[in-house]
Amino acid sequence: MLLQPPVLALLLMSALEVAIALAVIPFAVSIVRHWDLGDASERQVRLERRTRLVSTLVAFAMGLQILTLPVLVFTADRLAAQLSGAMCAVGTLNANAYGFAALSAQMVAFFAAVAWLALDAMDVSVPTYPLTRIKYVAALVLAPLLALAAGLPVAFFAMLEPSVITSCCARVFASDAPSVSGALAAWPAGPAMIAFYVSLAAAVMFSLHVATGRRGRASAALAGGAGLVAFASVIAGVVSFLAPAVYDDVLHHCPFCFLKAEYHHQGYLIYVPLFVATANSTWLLCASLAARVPALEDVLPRSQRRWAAVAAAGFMLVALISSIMLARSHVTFQ
Amino acid sequence: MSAGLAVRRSNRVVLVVALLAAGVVGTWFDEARLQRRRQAVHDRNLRLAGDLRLTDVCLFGDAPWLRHLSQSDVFASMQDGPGAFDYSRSGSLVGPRGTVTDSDASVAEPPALSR
Amino acid sequence: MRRWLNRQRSLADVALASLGRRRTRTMALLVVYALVVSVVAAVMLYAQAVRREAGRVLAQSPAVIVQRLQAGRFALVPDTYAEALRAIRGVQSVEGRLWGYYYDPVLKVAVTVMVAPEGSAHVVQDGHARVGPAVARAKGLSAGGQLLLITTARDVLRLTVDELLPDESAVLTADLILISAADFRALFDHPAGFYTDIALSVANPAEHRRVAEKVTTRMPDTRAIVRDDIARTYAATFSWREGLVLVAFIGVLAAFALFAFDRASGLSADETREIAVLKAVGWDAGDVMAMKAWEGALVSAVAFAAGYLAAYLFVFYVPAGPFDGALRGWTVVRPRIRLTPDTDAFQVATLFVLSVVPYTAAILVPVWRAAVAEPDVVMRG
Repeated sequence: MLLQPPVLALLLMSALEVAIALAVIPFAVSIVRHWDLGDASERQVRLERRTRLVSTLVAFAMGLQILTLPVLVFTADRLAAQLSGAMCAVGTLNANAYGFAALSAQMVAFFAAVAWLALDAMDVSVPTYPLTRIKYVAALVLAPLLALAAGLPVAFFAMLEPSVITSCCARVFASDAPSVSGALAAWPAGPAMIAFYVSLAAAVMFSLHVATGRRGRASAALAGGAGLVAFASVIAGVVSFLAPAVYDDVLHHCPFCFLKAEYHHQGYLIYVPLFVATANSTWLLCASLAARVPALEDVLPRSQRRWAAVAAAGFMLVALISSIMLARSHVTFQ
Repeated sequence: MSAGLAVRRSNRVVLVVALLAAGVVGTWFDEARLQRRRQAVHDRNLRLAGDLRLTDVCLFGDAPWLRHLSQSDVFASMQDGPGAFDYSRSGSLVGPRGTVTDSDASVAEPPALSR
Repeated sequence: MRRWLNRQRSLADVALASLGRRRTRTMALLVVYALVVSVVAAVMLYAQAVRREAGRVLAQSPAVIVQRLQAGRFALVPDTYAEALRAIRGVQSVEGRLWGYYYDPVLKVAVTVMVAPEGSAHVVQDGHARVGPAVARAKGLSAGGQLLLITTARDVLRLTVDELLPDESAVLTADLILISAADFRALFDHPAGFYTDIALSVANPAEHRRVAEKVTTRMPDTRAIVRDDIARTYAATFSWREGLVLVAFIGVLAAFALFAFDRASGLSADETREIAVLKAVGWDAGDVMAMKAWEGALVSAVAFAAGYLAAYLFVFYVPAGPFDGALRGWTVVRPRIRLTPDTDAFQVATLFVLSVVPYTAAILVPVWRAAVAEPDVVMRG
């Protein structure tokens, strides 16, 4: 089902991403091999001039990558109307083997792109471009990932057959389904809730710790790591208890349906702050890695404090909103 | 160029951008207005369709399978591709096997015509 | 923060001034850009409106329609089938439908002739008819007028037109002629005891498909169409159409991207001098790129908004624009459908990706080239 406007939009973005990733490789290789700011040779001057273009291009590709994830989810949701058995994005993504692979690859690529953009921002904030080499090594590593993340949705949509009968989210996220999604749905609400709030509290605390003072690498790493853990446990918590609470139905565990208009798009209230906060956690992790670079000593702490503050605020918001959702729900968990 | 001129120009452009943006936002209000105003018509049409047991909307009438898209059989001639354009111009509006239903699986599928 | 804002404002001012100095070129770009946006937007708005309209009005169509197939073609359904269908659990009521196509030799078009089901508000008496608005218009009929139909046996069937179906229902009834069951059988020589197809009503929507499966297993010569299938048919129809138009549009999009690329890279002498001056007074490449980014953003914003607005007005307020046929398809008894807009943010986002992203991608390299040019090289020409 390639001939759908949103799918074509996705294709366009994927094609641009892959084209940029491919075009950047030779340049990235020559940077990694020859970059030397002390050198005044013509090659170095040319490299320096080029690097601005290339980092703009890569930033553009990463920006597209960040945009691709929501477009993929939306498109899948929209196509559910054309697939028999599908009620929301889950049904569509489940219609062939590439669906959830594409979604997972997109999520990984999303945070990878976010991290790269942070590297880029840190690099250009210092006149000596201390991270240029690392940045392009990262770009080289990311290129195949980006290509994979771009290719999987294409394969998914190309192979999507409208006549195929898929199973809806109620079945994918049923507690007796023999899969990861099933296991998450079967996770009892009690422990899930404890993991949810404890990990959120940890992420908020560690982030606040970084946000309030000039802290070292270890605290930043801790805050970033705690953020990623919180991300995972929030997703698990959504499936386990938050989604059923929103739907007022203990048996409905779908983490996508509450993005729909029927549920007043409540999902965004959780996912937007969650993704923003996690992106900032990713940056904190990057910052903790980059802290070794002496040239960044002046710039880094300030950015780090800002990122930590945003992460803390985002995770707090997630905790607050999910508590409100739980309080408003009529569902009682054992 | 004097600073005053530059400011005035940018103000004018800002005004244009603001007007256009207001126009786009205005379409949303217009949409809500039209939907509200035609709600009664939609309700009447919904009842009419239920009352007459209608299954299709009347968009094009140049071929039976185009008039009743959801009722046409999957192997009506000229239905097996967008190429039906020459034969029936609305054919370009309907994709190949645009009306696949699950129950088709229970009908022996004609080998030559299906993609 | 304030410093950042001030910087952006100054950059925007410079960008504006620069655009304003090349007024004709900027206008040309804007017009082409807006045109590209509006064509894509018109197709998308139109298709979505039709899709939602169909979804809205058909939400209460029969739960399951049972057709009979014989040698791969539709066959009339004997009423013994209706009895058997009634026995299926979950089926609330069973009704034979009588409908068909009548080829009108004068109009040279097929219209739909239908018998309103019993208990409907539109049941007509023998010798009477109700006609849909497009048929009435094409044949010049009004309430009280005479409708002449030629039967299969070449006799003339004279019917008095009771009333015209309202214009507002054209999306459903434009080409409809409602007559009585007896007249229907006379018109088509339709054997008694047979129906065109059978409509089932099923109380529980979750059971529609299960009932349909039971029908096709118990009666292997039938085909069952579930209400959900109808919805999917209309969802797919115009999506496919949109996609096809957009694919055909790829060439235009590519040409537009090339145009934008060319325009952005073929800097005029004035423009080059401008950038050289800026660099000479201390701007670095980053500032120039930011300024150029502002230029691009302004152009995109204006073109996108103007294009979208034009498409909206064109689709929903111009009754039959010049491209109506290309969007709508052709038919002699054309329904006059007033579309109700039904857009959403995702559609706007898709449109944005399909128009602004290619433009942005196309100007990246030229912008960089302008930004890194050395002032002395430029000044010397």
